[in-house]
Amino acid sequence: MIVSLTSRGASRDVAEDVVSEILAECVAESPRNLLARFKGEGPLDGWLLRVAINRLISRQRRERLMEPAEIGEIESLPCESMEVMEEALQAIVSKALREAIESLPAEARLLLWLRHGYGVAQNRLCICWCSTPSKLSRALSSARRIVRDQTLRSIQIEDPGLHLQWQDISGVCSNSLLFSENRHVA
Amino acid sequence: MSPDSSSEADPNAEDGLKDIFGFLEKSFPDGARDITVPPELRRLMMEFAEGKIPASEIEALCTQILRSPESIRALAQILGRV
Repeated sequence: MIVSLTSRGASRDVAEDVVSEILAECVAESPRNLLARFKGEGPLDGWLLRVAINRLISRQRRERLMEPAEIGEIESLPCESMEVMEEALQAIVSKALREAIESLPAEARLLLWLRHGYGVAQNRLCICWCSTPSKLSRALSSARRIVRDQTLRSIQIEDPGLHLQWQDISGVCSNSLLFSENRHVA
Repeated sequence: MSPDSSSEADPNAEDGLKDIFGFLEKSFPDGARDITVPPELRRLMMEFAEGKIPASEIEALCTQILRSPESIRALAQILGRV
């Protein structure tokens, strides 16, 4: 976990700090207990790694926002809590993803929704589009590439200091700490 | 940045897309699941599922389906999912 965090730009100290924080929350009493939020979807270690990466991203954003502030102003910064920072990150990622998907032609957008949102088999989609598997694969690849590149570009424009990787985006989306089923985005 | 995030990265990598679309799907407004799809649109979607929509009309139908989350879900259902 520490190696993953340092590969994302964290210093050894910060990485250890984040991991310690997470381990402490794993053994904390309810309602602070982190493991109580694990829904059993996938391996626990992968879920904990996503939590750690999201914590690191939030921490990096918070530090950048605080840099220009005077010491006395830090107390009143609106983004001082981790929860608020996570919500801000959620908003940026969500907006970028939506805009990227919206930028696609309708056919490509629906293809992505059916294939990746609902898991419709590619051969079923070939029937709908009267297409061959290879043509459909190319269309899907192209759409995925556009969404990925456009999303990362939008995030970079929105927050130039935020260096997210594509796997971070999916990690953020799958992290129930950030995106609970009960929470809707604009 | 990792190799995966570069423009040369393998675009066929589907890792995480399920999570992303799952998240976007969950973010649809409450109540959207209960809205009925108009019968005419449902009929067109049935024809689409059978490959009976002419290529020149597919873009327009896709636009219509994408107007509401419940239409996308209905089509996915027709195609054997959801």
